[in-house]
Amino acid sequence: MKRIWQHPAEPTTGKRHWRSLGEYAKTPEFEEKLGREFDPALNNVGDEERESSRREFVKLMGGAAALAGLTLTSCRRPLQKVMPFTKHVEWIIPGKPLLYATAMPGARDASPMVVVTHEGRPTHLQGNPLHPSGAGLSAFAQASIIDLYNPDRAQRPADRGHEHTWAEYQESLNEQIGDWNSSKGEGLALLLNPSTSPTRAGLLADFAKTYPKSKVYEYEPLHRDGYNEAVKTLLGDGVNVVPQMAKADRVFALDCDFVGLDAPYEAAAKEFMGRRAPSKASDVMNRLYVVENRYTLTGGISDHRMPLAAALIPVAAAYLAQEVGKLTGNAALSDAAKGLADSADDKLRAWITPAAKDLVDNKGKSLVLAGSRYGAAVHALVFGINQAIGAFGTTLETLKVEPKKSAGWVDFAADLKAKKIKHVVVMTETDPAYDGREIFETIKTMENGPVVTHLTMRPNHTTRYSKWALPMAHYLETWDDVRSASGVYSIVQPMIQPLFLGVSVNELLLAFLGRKKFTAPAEETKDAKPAAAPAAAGAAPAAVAAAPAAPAEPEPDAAWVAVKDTFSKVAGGWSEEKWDVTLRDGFLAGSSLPKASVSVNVGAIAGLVAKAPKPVVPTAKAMEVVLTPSSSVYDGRYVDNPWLQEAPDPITKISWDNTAWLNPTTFAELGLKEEGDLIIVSVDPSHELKVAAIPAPGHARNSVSIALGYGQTSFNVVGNDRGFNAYHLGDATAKFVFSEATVQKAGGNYELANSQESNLMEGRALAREGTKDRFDKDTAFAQKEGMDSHIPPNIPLYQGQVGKKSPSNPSGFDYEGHHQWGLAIDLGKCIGCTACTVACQSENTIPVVGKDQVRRGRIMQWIRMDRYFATSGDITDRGQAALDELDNPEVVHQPVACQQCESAPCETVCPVNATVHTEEGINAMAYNRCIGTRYCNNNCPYTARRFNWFDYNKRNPLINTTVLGVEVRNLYAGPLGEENQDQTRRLQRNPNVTVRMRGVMEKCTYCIQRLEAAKITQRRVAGNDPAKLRIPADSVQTACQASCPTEAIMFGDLANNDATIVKWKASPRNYDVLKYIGTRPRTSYLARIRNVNPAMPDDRVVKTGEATIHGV
Amino acid sequence: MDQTATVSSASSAQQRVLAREPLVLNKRSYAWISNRICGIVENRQPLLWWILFIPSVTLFIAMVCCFAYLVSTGVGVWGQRQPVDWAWDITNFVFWIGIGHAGTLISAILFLTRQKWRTAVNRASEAMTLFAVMCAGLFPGFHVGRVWMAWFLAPVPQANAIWQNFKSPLLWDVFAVSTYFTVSVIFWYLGLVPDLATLRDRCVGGIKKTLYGAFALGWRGGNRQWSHYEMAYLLLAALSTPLVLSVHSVVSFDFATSVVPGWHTTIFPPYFVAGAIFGGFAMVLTLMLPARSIYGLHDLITEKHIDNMCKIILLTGTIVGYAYCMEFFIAYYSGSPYEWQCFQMRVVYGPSVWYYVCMFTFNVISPQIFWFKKARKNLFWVMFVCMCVNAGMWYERYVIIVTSLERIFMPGAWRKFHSTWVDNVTFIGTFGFFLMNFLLFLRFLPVIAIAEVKGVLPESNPHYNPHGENGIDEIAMDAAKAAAAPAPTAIA
Repeated sequence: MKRIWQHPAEPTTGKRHWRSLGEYAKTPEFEEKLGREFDPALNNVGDEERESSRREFVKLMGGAAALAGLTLTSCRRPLQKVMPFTKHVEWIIPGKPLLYATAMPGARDASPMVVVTHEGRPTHLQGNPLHPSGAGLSAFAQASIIDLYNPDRAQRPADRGHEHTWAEYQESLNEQIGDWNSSKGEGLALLLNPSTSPTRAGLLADFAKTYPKSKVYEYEPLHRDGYNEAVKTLLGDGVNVVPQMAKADRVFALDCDFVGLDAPYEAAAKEFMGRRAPSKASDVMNRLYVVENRYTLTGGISDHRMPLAAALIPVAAAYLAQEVGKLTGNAALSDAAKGLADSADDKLRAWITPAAKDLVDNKGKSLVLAGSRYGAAVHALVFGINQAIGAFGTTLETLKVEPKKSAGWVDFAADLKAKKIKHVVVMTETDPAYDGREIFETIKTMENGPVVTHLTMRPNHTTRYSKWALPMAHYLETWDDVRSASGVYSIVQPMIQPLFLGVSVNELLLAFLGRKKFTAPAEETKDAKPAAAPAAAGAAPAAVAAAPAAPAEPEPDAAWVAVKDTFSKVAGGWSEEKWDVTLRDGFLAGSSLPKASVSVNVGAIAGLVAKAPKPVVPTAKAMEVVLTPSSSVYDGRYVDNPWLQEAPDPITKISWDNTAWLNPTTFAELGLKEEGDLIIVSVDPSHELKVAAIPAPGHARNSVSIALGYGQTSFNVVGNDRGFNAYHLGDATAKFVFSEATVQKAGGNYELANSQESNLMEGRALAREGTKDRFDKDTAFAQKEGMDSHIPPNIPLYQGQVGKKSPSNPSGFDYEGHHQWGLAIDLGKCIGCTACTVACQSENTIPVVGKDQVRRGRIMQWIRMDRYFATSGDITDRGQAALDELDNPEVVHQPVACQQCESAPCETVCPVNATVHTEEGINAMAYNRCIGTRYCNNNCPYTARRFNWFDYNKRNPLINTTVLGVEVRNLYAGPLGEENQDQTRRLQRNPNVTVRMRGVMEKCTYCIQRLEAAKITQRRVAGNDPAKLRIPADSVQTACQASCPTEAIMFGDLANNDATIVKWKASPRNYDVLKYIGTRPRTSYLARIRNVNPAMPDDRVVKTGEATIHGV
Repeated sequence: MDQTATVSSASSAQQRVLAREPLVLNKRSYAWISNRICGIVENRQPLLWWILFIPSVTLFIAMVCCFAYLVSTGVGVWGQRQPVDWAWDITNFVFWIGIGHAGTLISAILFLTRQKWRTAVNRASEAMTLFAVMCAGLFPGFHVGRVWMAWFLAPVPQANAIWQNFKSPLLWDVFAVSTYFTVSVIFWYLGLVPDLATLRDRCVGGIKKTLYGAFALGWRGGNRQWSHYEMAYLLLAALSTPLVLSVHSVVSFDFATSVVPGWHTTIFPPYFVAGAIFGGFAMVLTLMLPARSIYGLHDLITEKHIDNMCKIILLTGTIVGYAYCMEFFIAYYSGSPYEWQCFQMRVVYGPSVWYYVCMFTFNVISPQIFWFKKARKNLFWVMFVCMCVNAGMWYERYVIIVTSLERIFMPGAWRKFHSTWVDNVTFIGTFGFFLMNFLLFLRFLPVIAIAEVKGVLPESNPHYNPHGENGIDEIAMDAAKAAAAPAPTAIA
């Protein structure tokens, strides 16, 4: 059809404009020309030909229809909308990340970190390498970013469930403040978690001044009251004791998981593990003795470990104290310990005596640590031992801090029962109505009980008691500050405007003090959908040298002002420059706490020991129950975090649930058969719990460990009704070891999602380890294990073979000038904490698949943590002898991701060339090309590939839907199921990583998006100089490497001799897994070395254990 | 009705030739054969046909629903999991493709080797081949994660400009199976042409006549036509023969070329081919024995046929047994702990030992009964062994594929496979599909090659002597006669 161009009508009045004389004259030629969109003179086609003939029409339509049909153009083209910024935001380039330094507050320390933001959205967290104690992040810190986007966060101030605006809350608050002012805060209570924030401390001091009769209670469920008491009694008030793991040659841990959940300070794991990676025979290693009732990460890396009931840990401490006292001639210590030490049995004595000698022999370089939750007696003894072995001032540093003025949980409970509290403001990460259920329940039974105001990230049990429930801001949304355990000052800066209108603890305190008003401007965003907002003004990017000026807002953020005030005090006066540098680097250089010189009051030990309850030896009739922190949800606060829930427990490999851990013999004695068989644990007639049991090798007999934090009725689908609530067994805040409990088989089985079915290495030399002795005799022993000594060496593929066809370079490709990426994992440093797993999930947009899919073996995590037990004897026999072997096996962890084989078995079998090699040695995935034959994963010796069995990224795997009246799991409902769940969590996704659809294979690609970004940057730097195209050594890190708390992962360019990876690969401990197949993996492992004390009675076990893993 | 010829006269025993058992019994005439075979198509189907057909169609519909569910929801509805990425899908594929081997073997290799007894069973077994290959083709087609992208396997230009990976055995599979299927269809159809003409000629009129006529391609039965036909048939037989060996060899490469312990074995190609023939013959018997009795084809499919096929089952079953043992020995002899442990776990302490026990009992032990002639003559035992072999061959593929993957290199990744209801229904559904096709074939096409069976009648022999003894090979008789006078006496 000919298109007639409709020109606007010519104005009849005013000036007349014309384009040509023809128009002016209104010639018919011009009129005709005007009617056409294009001048016919521009092409040589005559008018008649331009007319669409019928033939032409049919031809075109036929062709179009054929093309449409053939190429399926309308089929499955994903619909995506891109919204550009209407106003460009400073520094933001779409697709390029901005990095900001901040820190995650902890109870006694802080996790310094760098936040990766994309277009104003924080997408990934990684350790801050500049920070004095920084490197890597724990899994908790790593996963905290997904909490920011939790769609089930509290979103509005609510008065008994009715939503209000902040301005309305302010009105209510004004009344309250009036009341408080008149009563001087009588009956007002603040319930807080411990914090290191100087700003918060300052605000609380102001609060106490303003409302002198108010009271502040600090609590955490996994408290250390006993420890604090011991410190106060023995060392004095206001002393912070910080171990120095880097200086300790001999460490004795009494149920202290110091590399895991009981870390005394941020860098404990890094500093300790840093000395467990010898590269030559003369290197000195530290040595670790562990006594504990269950396997912890610390037990896993220990050189000598003894399973011992938790109730007997005080006995072990006492006996150790007695021995150390004897050896050092410290009669006061051995006398104080005597009463408890007498109940030590011969096995314990035989084990501790040589260990004590070893500690004393290394006086000044030894350290004893006890689990922070043990009573004052244990800690008093430990301080006594540390004093005797010269730890103070060498391996233990004492710092001066402000003495704590706040009361604790016990006081809170007492004051609550005494009706001294009229209004309690709960501002905790934890959920006191859940973890302190029995105390909090009294509120319900009271007449005129206290009014509860609750500041919370997520609606939880406490919310149900609250009059006002206020949304709490995530730490990535607010201004705050923290100190590390050693006192390094960091500022917590906001990365994003509060997504759900939350406020921080500091802001609420400021509001209580009248220094902040919740007013209308905040309301303007009330209706705004939770969406990406640009990074809050004033946040300084770490990458930009010159930090910007402070924000020029008419009314500055009160929290920001408060932090600045604190900063002035800490930094000794305000300095704009210092402030900017602190924001940029993530810490105030040179800040620390002053050292305290202490003398241990040894005389007080006896008093504390005498007060300790008598240890009860657990028996089959009267077992002990130990409530432990959970590796996934800690004390229950992370229960709504899908990544942590899915990351398998490092020891049991169970996801999404907690379990009761039992010694395999005890397990069998109870008549239990399968893991997940239910037991009933009752500690007294009114407290019992039905819980799924699991046989846990290395567990003390007649002892049950149950992780806390599960069994919550959450408002969130992630955390709702997972596992078993161990807080039901009694007031876990009062004690965590319950003696004389009865445990019976309950009948029935609870389905557990175990991500690893096999516990043994079956004699295959996968994770290799040896003793220091063996290493000293033959440093390269690890390269000869398995069948490796019988096969020809693996020739590196791309070295010295430039462009020539050879057996090691069959394609004859010219690899010169390219980076050659490689990765190494030091098993000697790896503690198995799964931080890498979570970091990878965050960086690479790996979906969560839910318990049911984990149970089916479809976990998507690209880097899995294999955990193997090693025994000295044969355990294939099912008799008691086999069970005995499981009393104290060794544990080895091995992270496994794609090994980027140079000769990759997966590549040859893909029929559609969807997985191919890059010239930089990466086994790349072309997701668009993959049709999902899954042959590659069958042929992968490392089983490193993951398949999208369902649309995990699109459909929520955690919910059920109703299809035709039948409730089915959402994933199984297919197109009838719910789609587009978790819209807010999508904001966390890394825009530089493809989101994979169902039917596609995926796997680790060495964070290729980071490599490409680095190469692009380098190209700009290099300009026209091709010699500079290679990126500098060690300038790019993979996500797992950047997150590893112990620096056990190294990545880099193998073709660059300056790169650290080259040194790692040259280590004699370096070996390839399954080298015999000839895959020539680019990822290699460094064997673990255990520093065995030959004087120990279990020396034989440790050594033969090593033989069994690798021998056969 | 023992038709075995025996020689009775002791005095002239040395000069006498054992009489061959006739391939068609009771001196059936050309007309009887045409009537009997065409009658199946022309008459109403017996009740049993409907009793079988309706459940088959139901199962077929269930299979279609399962595949629809699979494609719409994801491969996760099957039971596969890390590290068992192939399970029932590829097991079923290899199982069906194996069954599809007997047909072409009977029609091509036995044709080339002048095994005339093939004529009674070749048509049905070729049809069985086609249907089995159709069933087989469904699994690799639908097991991929993105079925709608499966055309990436075809070497056609497309926007990604990525070519196929010709190193991948899966791609070889695509070509091998599709070639096999195409050639089998042509071969089968070519053999059908004269019989279609017979049916056309017997039809009174109407749509049937038109359709049979169209498919008969104007066959008139002239000498020239026969001459060309025979040559074409011979050539196709020659073309099919290597395919019989190649298809299952290529299928076995899917496993043999990988690095997986339990798969990485050089014995696989011959072992798979032997297994395929083994399973294929069992399936032919499974189908033909009931058809023979329902449609009264005892004179055409005689005990000799059954006996021959039983012997082949015995032979191939024993070869398969040898392969099992040799595989085990090599695993030990290789010195590779991964291989050796894989086999130990298959047989002794793995999670799927029962599968191995079933496989070995059904495939190796059960056919040994065919050493006894009585067992070969007893249709109950024949049917029983065939059923064992049918099941055993499925177990064999399961053992190879699943138990190897369940216990791959890294114990940290080990996991036992559990099938889901979708796995089960899909697999059972393919039997419905297979049977439905076969029953339709019985209904509409001549189940026995009429023209060819007529060719093996004694009358078809140009030297046929109507006064000779019944059922005796006349040429052999003539030769014997030439060697020694007086004529031997054979007693029926």
